[in-house]
Amino acid sequence: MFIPVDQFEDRNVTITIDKQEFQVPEGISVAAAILGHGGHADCRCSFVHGEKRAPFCFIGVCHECLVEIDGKPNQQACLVLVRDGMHIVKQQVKEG
Amino acid sequence: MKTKWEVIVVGAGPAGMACAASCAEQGMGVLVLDEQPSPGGQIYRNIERQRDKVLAVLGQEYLRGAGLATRLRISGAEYKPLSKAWKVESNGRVCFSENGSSREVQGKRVVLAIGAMERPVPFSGWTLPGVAEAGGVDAFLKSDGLVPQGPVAIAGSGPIMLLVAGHLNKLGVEVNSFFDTTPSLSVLSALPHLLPALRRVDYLAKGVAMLMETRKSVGQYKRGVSHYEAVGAEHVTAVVAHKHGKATTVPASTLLVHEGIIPRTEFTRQLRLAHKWDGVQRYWYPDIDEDGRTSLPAIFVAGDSGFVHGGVAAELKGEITALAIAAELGKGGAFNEKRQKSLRKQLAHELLTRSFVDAMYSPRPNLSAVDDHVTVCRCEEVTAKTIRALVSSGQTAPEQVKAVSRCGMGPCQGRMCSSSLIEIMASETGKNAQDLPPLNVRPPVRNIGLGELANATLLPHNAAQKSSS
Ligand code: FES
Repeated sequence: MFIPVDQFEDRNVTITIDKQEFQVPEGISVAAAILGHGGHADCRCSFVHGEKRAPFCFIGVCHECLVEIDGKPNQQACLVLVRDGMHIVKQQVKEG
Repeated sequence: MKTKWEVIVVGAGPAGMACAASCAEQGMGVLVLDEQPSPGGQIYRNIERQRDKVLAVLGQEYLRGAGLATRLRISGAEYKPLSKAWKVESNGRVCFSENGSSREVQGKRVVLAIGAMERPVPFSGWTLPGVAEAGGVDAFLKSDGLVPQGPVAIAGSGPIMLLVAGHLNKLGVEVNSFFDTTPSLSVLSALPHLLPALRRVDYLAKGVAMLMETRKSVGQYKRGVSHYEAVGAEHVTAVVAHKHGKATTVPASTLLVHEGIIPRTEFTRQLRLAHKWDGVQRYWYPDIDEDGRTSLPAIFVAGDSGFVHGGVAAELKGEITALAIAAELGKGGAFNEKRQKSLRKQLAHELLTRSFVDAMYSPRPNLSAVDDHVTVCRCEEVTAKTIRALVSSGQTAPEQVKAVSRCGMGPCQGRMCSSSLIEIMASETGKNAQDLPPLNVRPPVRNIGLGELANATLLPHNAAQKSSS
């Protein structure tokens, strides 16, 4: 879990995370929306054993932040910015 | 968009920004492909619109990036944010993905300036949510204005840990423990490098000041920790530090780890360029000359992806590469030679402390001595036990172990596990890590969906190849 360092006056972007609606500041990453504004501590489950996983590297390397964005699976939440009307779903499916 | 460029720069950290700006200033057509939404790389991430509160904490060194970003913006180089390069060809062609679609561009020269990453080191519990890399969380603070939930434990080795502890402390986050795994004997191997480092007293003094400050600000500061683990069911709840066979447990909502920095070599390895092994920092780095030239005339490497020397050095290296390219392409002015000389001098000055710091913080010898149950490959959930069993059943090549166990075959494409796989195999077989062939890297080096791959807009020659194959 992460906490915003300040109040973020402008929360003008509306998104959903697992169908729940949130107002978040523009320009933040999907990872930030999930961990810092959506009250979640994880982004997906692991492919083999279904363990909870959360962003580990925050620089686009580890792929622990994969989520479904607007119906497209396996998007790196740390490298995508929020957009008004975006639907984010934490990936809860195992592979194969 | 134009498809032909004189120079294509991959990455917009200090090296990429300096190189691209300098090339463009000298009249070359420059395209910059950057995965991030704005220039800066990790060190100067979000420099163009940083929040005041974060800016106050990051201070003077971070601000250095502002000038660079501005220079890039006004240089005339075409800057493409959120663009992931996924293939670089020896003839200067680069495929990249933007907004879910891919295309190919061609450069007379390609500069790989993709920087470095924290060395991924497996330990018990490292896949738990709440465990993250220290430098990464600092980058997340820069881009997204978020701090991790306290109490925070920080564990590992290297100056970045101090930096991150300082940032969190100033932002009011409780750092309850700091577990330093730097072996106390490291100072002996670093001593021979002290003399040149003394010429940068400013740098050393800053390090000492940071250390003192951290010791004062964190709950407990423990040196000589041999290893650590994260404990929890679905999230980290505690951290255990081991020292002289004794375990200390502290409660933690977040564990930040750091075990040094290694160059990102995905493209130089995809291109099958020659790499060298650094025995002190234990990593592979591309074999390049002082201008960043590789054995392929079209391909250059600049900044930390060539060798980890830090942000200021990366900037200098980027500019040095730009001047070398200008000379090759018949651009640049009469002053270039003089300028190149002065840049090399500045770089040498910048590197005075490097051997000292590298030796001081060289990876601890027990890094790969993880317990059997520890997950090495996070993506495919392959444990150390599986790897060791394969080695003892006679598999001696990392590629074989990868094929059988799937270690390194998940979405991160081995970025998180390949170095540990090699280290574990080396210690099992009694070989040196550098004598084991590293895993192959094949394009696409990014997870591009099959549909996107099939629909990629390629340049004529490759398009013909694609339809005929
Ligand atoms: S957090 Fe590691 S790739 Fe996104």
